[in-house]
Amino acid sequence: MPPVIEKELCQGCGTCEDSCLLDVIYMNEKENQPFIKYPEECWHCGSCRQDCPEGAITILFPLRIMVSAGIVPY
Amino acid sequence: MNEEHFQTDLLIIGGGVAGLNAAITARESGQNVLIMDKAVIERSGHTAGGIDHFLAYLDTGPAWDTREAYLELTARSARGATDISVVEKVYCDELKGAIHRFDNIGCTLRTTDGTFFRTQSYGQPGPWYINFNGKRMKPLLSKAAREAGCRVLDRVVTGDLLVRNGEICGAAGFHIREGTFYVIHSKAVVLATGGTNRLYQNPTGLSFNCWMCPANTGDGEAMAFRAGARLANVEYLRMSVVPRGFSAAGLNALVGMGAKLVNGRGEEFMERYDPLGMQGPRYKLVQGVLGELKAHRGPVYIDCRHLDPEAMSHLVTTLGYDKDTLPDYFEQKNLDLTKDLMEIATSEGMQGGPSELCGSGIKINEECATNVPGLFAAGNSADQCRCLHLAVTSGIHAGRMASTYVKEKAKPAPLPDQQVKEIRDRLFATIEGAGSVSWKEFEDVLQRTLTEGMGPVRSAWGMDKAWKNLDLIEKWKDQVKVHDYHDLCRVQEVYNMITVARCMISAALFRKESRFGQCHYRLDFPETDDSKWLGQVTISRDQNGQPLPDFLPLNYD
Repeated sequence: MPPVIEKELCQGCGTCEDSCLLDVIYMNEKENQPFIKYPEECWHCGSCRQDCPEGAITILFPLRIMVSAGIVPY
Repeated sequence: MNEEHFQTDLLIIGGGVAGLNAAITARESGQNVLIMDKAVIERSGHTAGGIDHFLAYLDTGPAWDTREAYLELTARSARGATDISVVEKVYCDELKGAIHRFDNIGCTLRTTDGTFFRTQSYGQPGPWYINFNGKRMKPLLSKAAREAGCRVLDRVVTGDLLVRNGEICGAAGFHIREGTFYVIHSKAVVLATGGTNRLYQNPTGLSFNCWMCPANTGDGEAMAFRAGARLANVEYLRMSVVPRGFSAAGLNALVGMGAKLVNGRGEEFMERYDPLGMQGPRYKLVQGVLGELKAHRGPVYIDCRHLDPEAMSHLVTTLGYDKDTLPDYFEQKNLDLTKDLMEIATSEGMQGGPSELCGSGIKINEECATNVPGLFAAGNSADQCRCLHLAVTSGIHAGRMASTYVKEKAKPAPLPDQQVKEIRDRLFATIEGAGSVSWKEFEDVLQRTLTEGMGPVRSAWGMDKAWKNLDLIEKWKDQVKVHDYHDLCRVQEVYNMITVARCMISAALFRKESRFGQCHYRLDFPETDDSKWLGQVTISRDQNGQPLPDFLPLNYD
């Protein structure tokens, strides 16, 4: 789950939802909090973090990026 | 389902760098402009999170810093793919204006003391890459477009172009969350939808962990093809060298600042693959890495430890401009470039132009126009353009040329009502289907097919097999399962990628030679043959909707 949103800092402004070019981040209208709906479709571009006015977002790389294993296919 | 109709002079599809530059230019010349993007334009397209380099000659005096030098390298490095008369118009003639555009939007290419920080890589005769802080380039460009009065439809993905009597008159698409169907009636369309990037398997198994933007899935190329436009240079496979596991941009910054590739024995090896060594073209760096890995001399690393503290400090900063999260990757991997070697690998494949100076996709002429009246293309979706420098200049040029076309046209061709209905029916037919195959499964078999048959080593039988696999995949289309409009957008992306894949295979089978190293290497025709193949393979659509290859010679005398 690459973008991690710290609930205590988030003010629910929804900026990150608009910053995500892959439609990964959605607002939960009831809780007024964003959530990561499609974690595997994140490009790790960092737009959400750059635009968050509260500095509530960190990027945490998933296991498949941190442990790179397998043969180069060619 | 809701339906909305808009009318405009000029419709821009894709609000990335090329699209927004086209929009601003057309608006400045008085046209009514509407931009449609499947994301929100402030952070859409390949440069959403930032970029750090813009390629330019600046006429400062030396022979390497001139138009002639740029055209000479373009002709040499993209020989057989680049059309120099088009490059002169879409890049050289617009370059000064492009640099001004950066100043105008408040995203200067200059350092704080007013000079340019320039670096050299990929066979350039001098330091052509201007390093700059482009982290806010997209929001600033978007602000300028909105303030200029361009209307914007965010989160609307285009399904198809509208054509009446062979002439473009708009496009139709849908909102990727609400499903509203949009019909745009326009006098002309500029396609600026980027390249085709999720076509091949990603070494990590994460399809969206790709070097170039995963939202760019050949939508423009596929739509243009369906509308009767020609494509060119689509046989070429593009790859890069990336940190192992994280397919991030940044190679030009590393090479430009003097980093070296070394193998598992600690040897620098690039001289074995190119006389320019680390300064060779990108595809040669890829070739070098693949060669060392195949010879079991891996792992392969990037070594920056010899850089002086000032160069290192600039490098780390600029890497974060190009890929905002790369410093996080270093931190989470516990990598210190001043002390550690960084393991690298080749990236996933993609369909892309053979060099930094030449693209692939929709074939454009000197006016950024296609062979279909009213249809223009710019940026990475156009056959002569790639990278930021050509995205900006071709965007400006397409906006200018499309404006001229629009001004001469009193009104758009009437809406093709039957086609609008067909697009709506086709797009929404799957939303309530009872199938069981997700877009991810379609994408997965597509990526496996191309990785197996259309990689850096090709042969007629392998490509025939890939083609037959696509036939099988398409037979499963009526089994597709779509949960919501986000899913529907992904399904359309995969279908567009299948179309691009067919064009790619058709062009690659047709070109019976090899060119640009592993970009198009045929085991059955391993030599480059300028006597027969110095030019572009073009693809148009035959009467049955299939790709029809043809050859267009190019002259470099």
